[in-house]
Amino acid sequence: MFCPTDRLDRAPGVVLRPMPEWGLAYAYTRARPALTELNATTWLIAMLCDGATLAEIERDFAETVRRVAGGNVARDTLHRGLALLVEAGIVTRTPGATQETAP
Amino acid sequence: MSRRDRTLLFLRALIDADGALAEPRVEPVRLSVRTAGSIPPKAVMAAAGYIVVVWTWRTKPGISRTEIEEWELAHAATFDVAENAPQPMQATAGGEIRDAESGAVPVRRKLAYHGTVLARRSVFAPPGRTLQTLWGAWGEGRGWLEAVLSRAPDTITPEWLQPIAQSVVDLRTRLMEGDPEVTVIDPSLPL
Amino acid sequence: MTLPPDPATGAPWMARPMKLTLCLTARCPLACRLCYAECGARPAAEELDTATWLRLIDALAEAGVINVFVEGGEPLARADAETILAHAAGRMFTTLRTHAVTIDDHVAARLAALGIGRVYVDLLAADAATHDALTATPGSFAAATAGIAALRRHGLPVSILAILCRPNAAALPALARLAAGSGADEFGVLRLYPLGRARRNWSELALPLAEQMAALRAVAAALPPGLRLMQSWHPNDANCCWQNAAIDPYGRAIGCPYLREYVDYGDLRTTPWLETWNHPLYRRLRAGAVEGHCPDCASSQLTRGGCRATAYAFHGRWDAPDPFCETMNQGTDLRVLPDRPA
Repeated sequence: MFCPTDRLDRAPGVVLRPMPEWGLAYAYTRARPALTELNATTWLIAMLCDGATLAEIERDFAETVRRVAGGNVARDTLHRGLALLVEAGIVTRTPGATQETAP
Repeated sequence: MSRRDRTLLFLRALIDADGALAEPRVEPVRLSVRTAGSIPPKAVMAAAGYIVVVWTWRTKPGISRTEIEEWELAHAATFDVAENAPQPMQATAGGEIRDAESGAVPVRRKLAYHGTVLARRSVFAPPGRTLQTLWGAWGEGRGWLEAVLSRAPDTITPEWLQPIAQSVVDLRTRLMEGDPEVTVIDPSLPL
Repeated sequence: MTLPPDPATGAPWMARPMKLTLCLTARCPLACRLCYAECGARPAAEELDTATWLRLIDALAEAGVINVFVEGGEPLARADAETILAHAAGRMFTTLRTHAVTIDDHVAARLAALGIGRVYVDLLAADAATHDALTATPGSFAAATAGIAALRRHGLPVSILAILCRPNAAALPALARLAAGSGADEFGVLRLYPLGRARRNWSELALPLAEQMAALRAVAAALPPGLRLMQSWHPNDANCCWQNAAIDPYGRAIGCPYLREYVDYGDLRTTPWLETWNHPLYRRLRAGAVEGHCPDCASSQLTRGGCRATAYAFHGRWDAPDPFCETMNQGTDLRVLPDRPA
């Protein structure tokens, strides 16, 4: 599960190689030597993970795909894609500050 | 425009052209094993000032690649006519169309055939496969292209469009199963 | 932006290469009879030095190469091999092809630590006598199998490669069992390419196509569970020039390691990498204009005509079909390699 204040970034040493002529991108993860193919959806998500918060990424992702997907579909798709990218070691998550509750 | 913004615009165009948001996918790849694939450079052509029309279609049972190639050769020849000679690209409004990267004005035919390729979702698919046929046009060629692809050939007035339209009809009646899915990529997108 | 050179052909399109074979050296402690290179034929001093390789790797990474396959000769025969491999692994997915005869636990540990993604080990037979006869180096089988064991102990994924030839054809199933037993997850059977010492020893090594196909069927039928079979015959014999790039030990862009004796797209010490990619012959081979190509490969993989090096060696023409394909062989006797200058 991700929180709106989480920050998401590409993992250190990750190389992203767009292949626009094929509509996909490749990611090299040096920390666990592997090459991974990203389809257009995960490529887009990986691009948006540049240290932004989840809330910012949700907003930008929804805006980019708005002609083909509504807000709920976009958010659910984004979260599934983020989970895949984190699991593959392409994106890292830094937990955001938790909200203090008033006494 | 930053590289990030250009990439995001490209991805928006690509996802729009596919007409759906694909399920997220990450797959380990082994590039050392020979791989092949062919993805039409749709957004690249759009960036060069073309309107690109992609027909995604399935072959009739029993149609061989050779028959498709024969159609391709004949069809490509129909574009190679004096009225469609290469010329500096110019927008419908009259301004020059410059290559997005180099800034030069490319010389192109107004109406072009870009080839038939296996559609991305069916690379390595068995016979009965899905193909994509791509055409591109700029300036007034856009209207002509839409006319060729959407109307019966006898309604096309410019003489040199007649054989092109006939070739398209030939594709639809002889090689294609059912109707094509048509995707139009708008070149005005500022890639 | 670059448009495809000839979209009407339907040839697959790639604006810039994303993978590359780096032939690091022509030095090698073995003297294999079926080697594609002529190891030791030129002075080692003519090979690129460390600094030039590192600079080239930086340029390749900048140009979009994300996967490099490092081979030789024997790459580990260079004293600076690990420096160069480490530099590459910091920038792109890096795999290594080796005979493994100098790999012990120390070397394997260092290769794992510097980030090698996979190691491809050449084993030419399932028994020491045949292997050592083919490498012309006594003890090389024992050293190679010990090297494979060390690589696996340090967690490196291993593929075993065998070049199919007359002396080892009957033993391919046994070699597959040996590969599986040694912890490899892939067994690659490669064809004999008309290069280097293999070219000189062709008549004693080459098999008729029918016998090659029979050997492949035998190994496929007896493949141990969990072992992938990779082979370079139909339908994987498609023309892959369109996506290949390679550099020889002297810094020449050669498109594909199998073209090393046939083309020269430019000296990378003085010519920018992407300029060699646009060499007219390179563009021509990538376009896949081959007469009488296999329609099956054209429709399933959009490539035409098979291996250009093999086609050129047998027919002397760049647009000739590859005779190692059953469809395109057209009666060519693969045991007889025409005597033509490379």
